[in-house]
Amino acid sequence: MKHVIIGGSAAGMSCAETLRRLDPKCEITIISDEARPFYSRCLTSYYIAGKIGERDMLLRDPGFYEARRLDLVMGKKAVSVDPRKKAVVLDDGSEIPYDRLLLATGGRPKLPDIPGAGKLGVFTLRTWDDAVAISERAKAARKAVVVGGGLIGMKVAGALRDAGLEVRVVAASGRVLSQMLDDVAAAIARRLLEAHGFAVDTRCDVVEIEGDDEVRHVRLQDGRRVDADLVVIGKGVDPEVGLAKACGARVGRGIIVDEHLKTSVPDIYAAGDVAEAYDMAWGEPRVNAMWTAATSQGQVAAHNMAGIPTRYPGSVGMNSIDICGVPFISMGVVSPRRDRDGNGYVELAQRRAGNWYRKVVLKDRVICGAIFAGVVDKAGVVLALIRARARRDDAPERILADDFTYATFMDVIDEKGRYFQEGGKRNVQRIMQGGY
Amino acid sequence: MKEVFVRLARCVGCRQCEISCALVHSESRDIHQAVWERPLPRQRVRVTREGSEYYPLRCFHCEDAPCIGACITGAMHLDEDVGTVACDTTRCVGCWMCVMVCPYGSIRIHEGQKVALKCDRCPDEDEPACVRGCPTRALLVKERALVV
Ligand SMILES: Cc1cc2nc3c(=O)[nH]c(=O)nc-3n(C[C@H](O)[C@H](O)[C@H](O)COP(=O)(O)OP(=O)(O)OC[C@H]3O[C@@H](n4cnc5c(N)ncnc54)[C@H](O)[C@@H]3O)c2cc1C
Ligand code: SF4
Ligand code: SF4
Repeated sequence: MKHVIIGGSAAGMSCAETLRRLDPKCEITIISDEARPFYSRCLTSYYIAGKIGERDMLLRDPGFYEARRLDLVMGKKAVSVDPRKKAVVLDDGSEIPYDRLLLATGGRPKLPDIPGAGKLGVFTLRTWDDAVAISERAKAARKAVVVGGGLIGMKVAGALRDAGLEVRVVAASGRVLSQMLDDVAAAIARRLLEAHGFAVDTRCDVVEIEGDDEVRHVRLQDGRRVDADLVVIGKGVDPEVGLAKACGARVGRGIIVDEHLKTSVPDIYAAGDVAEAYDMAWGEPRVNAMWTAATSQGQVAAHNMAGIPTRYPGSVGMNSIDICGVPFISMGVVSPRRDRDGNGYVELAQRRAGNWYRKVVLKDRVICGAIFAGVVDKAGVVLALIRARARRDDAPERILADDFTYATFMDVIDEKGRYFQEGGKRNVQRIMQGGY
Repeated sequence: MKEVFVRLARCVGCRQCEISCALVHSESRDIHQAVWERPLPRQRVRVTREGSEYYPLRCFHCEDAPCIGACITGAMHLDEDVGTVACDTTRCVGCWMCVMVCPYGSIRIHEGQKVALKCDRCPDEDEPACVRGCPTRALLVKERALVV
């Protein structure tokens, strides 16, 4: 059996490693257009901040690929897939045949057509190379403008501030982290940012980037012109669906996959940021671009590719971010009135002194989303509750009062607590935790 | 593989396991000195009460552990020799992805150092400190295979 994987990051690598574990004999080829071995994309902002060095970016030891007999084709782009011939064509014209193919091509930053976006000193952040270029520029720069108040925008803003720059965040929506937080939590985040010296403009956009060859100023929608010698654009990510589209696979926002992560083309699977798989909180397919979902989808795809039918239970869109030392976690449906008409959803929230905030969102009395600010340590228990989709009428009250633990909801979360009690249930099936 | 099991009926909620855990993870490992350490030594097992029962909650060292799949640095990893899920705090950046996905709330945040703290099942001890500290033997170490 010959497996070919396009994309050697979270989804591709977890698939490759799982395939090797399941089948010591199969052939595995990983094609990556990046000229670097497996590294952590999520650490690129920490790299810019100077908190993470070369060595800690890499997630596997040298020699890892060889020890597991993974054939890594680095620095080459897959330009097309021929599903009839069952082969992948690379940019140097060579062909790689496959029995099973995984598309783990991730995403690409959206590039809004702001005049002047091609100038020197204007970046997006997706790859380690981007991070190297940004930190090079940051060495001599003083003032940065981050276009976009989403997760990546906020991470870059924090990193540039750590690197010693003055930072302005310009967000088009009415609040920062608009996908992840609601108004109250976003207001807490904004206050923190401003107290720590960030300039924040919401309901605003950059309309032009000015300078000769290099960026010198940016012009804002409201007419203001601010100095900037470094601009990072973080306006979201588009799934890299080109290959899939060209070979006839069904594509929505991402590549549409079934519960076995199979695409509509035989023997082709998809996983990670490029895949549109089932979302448990919304109850419909969605692209959930996050590391956890990419690794577990890679594992599930590997099982199916190896001929072990395995269902992907779905993911819950979620994120965690630290704003000026205060942790924020959000999961599932957090703003039903903005994202939908809000019908059938109930939102309950609790605010305490300091930066403490908590919210749960229910649909049909079942929890489908939550926000934690300030204290986040039991967020995972709530995620388990969302994933279990079980009704527990005391749950909202106890979560908001911070009066709960896993023991409170053990009956609806899983049997593990009992399995670890002596004399508890015997012969409990091995509990699969995968599928996050 | 060895595992820590709980006999719930025996737990009286005395929190000796918490104290033993904090102590074994302190600098001095001496209770009289440990109380003066800053930051205070933290326990990784937590005793909670639910109705009339006490639950000593700790990391289950899951197979297919979600915290490992979520970790963006590789700090959270499987220690293959002993079958535990361990956190290399020197690599941890405090992103709390692991906290977000642990279904059991087993990961604590070290506010001072901004790293993830969890049960390491006391790799340097003969017996985990919580088990040793438990006066009612509510916690005990057993071969996993014997119970399942
Ligand atoms: C700055 C930043 C911070 C982030 N922080 C977090 C975080 O804290 N937590 C979290 O959960 N997620 C975070 N994410 C998101 C996370 O990085 C992604 O969800 C994850 O990397 C997805 O993995 P993937 O394997 O699906 O895709 P990717 O990591 O995008 O990998 C796809 C790979 O395929 C390659 N490729 C694409 N097309 C081709 C082709 N035709 N031929 C060959 N190779 C190709 C790409 O170059 C790339 O190397 C962050 C992302 C960024 C950019
Ligand atoms: S920290 Fe949580 S998810 Fe990780 S192994 Fe322990 S119980 Fe499992
Ligand atoms: S907090 Fe540390 S151990 Fe947890 S996921 Fe982040 S880097 Fe990994």
